[in-house]
Amino acid sequence: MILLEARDLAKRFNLEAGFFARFGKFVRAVNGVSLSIGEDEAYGLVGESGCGKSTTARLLVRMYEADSGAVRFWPRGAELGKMADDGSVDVRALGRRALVAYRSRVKYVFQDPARSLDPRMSVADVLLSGYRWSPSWPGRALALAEAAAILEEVGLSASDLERRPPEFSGGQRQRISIARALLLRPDLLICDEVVSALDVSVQGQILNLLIETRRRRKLSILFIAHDLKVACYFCDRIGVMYKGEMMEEAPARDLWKAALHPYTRFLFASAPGMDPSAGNDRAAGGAVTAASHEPRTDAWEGCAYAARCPLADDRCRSQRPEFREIAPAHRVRCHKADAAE
Amino acid sequence: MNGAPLVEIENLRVDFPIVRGAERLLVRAVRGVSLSVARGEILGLVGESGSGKSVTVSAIPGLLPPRAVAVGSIRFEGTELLGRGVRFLRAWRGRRIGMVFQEPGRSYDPLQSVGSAFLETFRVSEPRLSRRDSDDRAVALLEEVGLSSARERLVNFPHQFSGGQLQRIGIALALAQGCDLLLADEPTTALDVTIQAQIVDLLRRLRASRGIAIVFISHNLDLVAGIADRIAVMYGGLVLEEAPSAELVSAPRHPYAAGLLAAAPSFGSHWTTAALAPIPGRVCDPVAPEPGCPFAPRCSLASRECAVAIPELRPVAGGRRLTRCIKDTEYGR
Repeated sequence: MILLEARDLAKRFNLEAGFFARFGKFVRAVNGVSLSIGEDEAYGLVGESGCGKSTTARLLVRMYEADSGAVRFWPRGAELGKMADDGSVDVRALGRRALVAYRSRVKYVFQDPARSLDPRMSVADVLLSGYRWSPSWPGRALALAEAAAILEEVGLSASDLERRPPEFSGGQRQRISIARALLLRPDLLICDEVVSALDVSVQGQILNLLIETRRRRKLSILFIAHDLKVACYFCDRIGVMYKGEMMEEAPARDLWKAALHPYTRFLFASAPGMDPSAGNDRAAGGAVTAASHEPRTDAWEGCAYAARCPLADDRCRSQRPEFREIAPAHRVRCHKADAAE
Repeated sequence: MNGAPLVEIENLRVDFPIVRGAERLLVRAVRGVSLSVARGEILGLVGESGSGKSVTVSAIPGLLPPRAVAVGSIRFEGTELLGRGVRFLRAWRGRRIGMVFQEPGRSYDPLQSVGSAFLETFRVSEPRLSRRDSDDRAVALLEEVGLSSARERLVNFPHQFSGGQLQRIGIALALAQGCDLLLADEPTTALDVTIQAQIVDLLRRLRASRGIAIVFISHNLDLVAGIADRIAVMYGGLVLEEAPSAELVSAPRHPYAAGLLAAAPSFGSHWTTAALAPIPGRVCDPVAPEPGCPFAPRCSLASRECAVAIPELRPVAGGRRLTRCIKDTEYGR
């Protein structure tokens, strides 16, 4: 069962900002991204910085408004306004109140726990400040009891409600962020680099917490990460993004050896601890030149990776590859995916 | 890796007096570290945040803040460097000891072009060097570290480069005066994995071509294992284990090193089949360090005698490796 589906999402940002900005030069941050997240599924988005993974996630909760494309959400029992025949709602058309309700079904957890919690609020206020505006607000006394229960669930204690975020360590603060998101019993949790700022020993604790929570609550997760090992371990399916486009989508578990797109293979070959004999040749990814890091500004016709790809030929430079299914649940945007075997 | 060590740190202790509210506290950042680096060797320093790895390394060229209290001994080719003044240390900084910092974007003057940064660096040792000679040498260095169209880019300012390019320039600047020891403090942490792999390759190549020794700091054990000859694992201001890279990763002898390896996922493992074994508890507090082994409160093997005194760093496996644990356990992986 699909919970959320995005189709052909696109977002461009003006390259210049400020009062004197000229318009007309755009960065294509997200360029035709389609993905679907199933019920009780963890979907991973990986890629280098600037590839558009966070922007995609923000488009899904309408923190940014997409330029084009569609986002559909299948609410489980919740009333979110006008539904289509298949029981889904069009997220981009939601009105103000329906959007508030939608955002209580889809919660966002941010990267840096030190900067996403107000140091002057008590943990109780942090947890309840969003809940207050949700349609299911039960009153302060009941909400506090729920907040205490959720803190116990994430491995803190009810007495921590009175304390303030600076009294906690990084791992504990991330638990508070997760508790804040879980309090509304969401269907989907968007975890944007939630373990990147943590030490290795604490990172394992948070990953185990998310896995337990998933098991208990049948929660879907969109997991954004730049650490490929963590993503492959935690997710069920992974989408690899490059310059705002989805390049490859495959089951997470074996992506490290089953990758077909030259970019994915290059990415994995660069990861520390990767066995060079695993067949992924770093040289096959091609050189990273200055041009390969320039954001995509104009309507480039060919493959986004062609400038960097060692396999690229004239067809790659002139014709954008389709995102085609090459094996069950394995899709690749490459003209030469078969040749790359 | 021949003969006398290039740099030898002996029983280094660094404290920072701080004021927290009305209290005066002492942060015990480094609590007795002994390390040595041979010529042409790459030593990896691994540890979590607050383990004292950066403080240990910045003590070598005397870059600790003035309020830090450092005791012990740091000898570079037999010359004591610890406690010497800035004038004395200038002969070592840059000329013998180069340093590469973590965030390439923040370690440059945004108003200084790259060519001018090189000129300034060269003129430390050769005050009469002309701009033309400086540019020629800068281009040679930048080509050595793999920056394309180096001559045209000398007039560029830091914001015109990407993070990976800035880190290459940083390495070139560190090498500009022909140093023998390169201290790299998390040089790749702010970079993408693809760029990280290139910087690691570059450092390895420079070691081979120039024969320099490198101290590579990182919190990523897999990354360090891929570049270093020998790894020292730090925690709570102490070295807990020191061993040749391959041996440390395949068979750690200290519970902390074993815990670090078990806490991180590896390729091929998946949550449905293998559970992670995170280290419980939180990183130790440098203000109130444990009287005994710093890892004892989080260690599954800890017993009462672990909390009494700090264990000695003692040789195991025929002296090739050192571990600071009273229970010598062998872990397979």
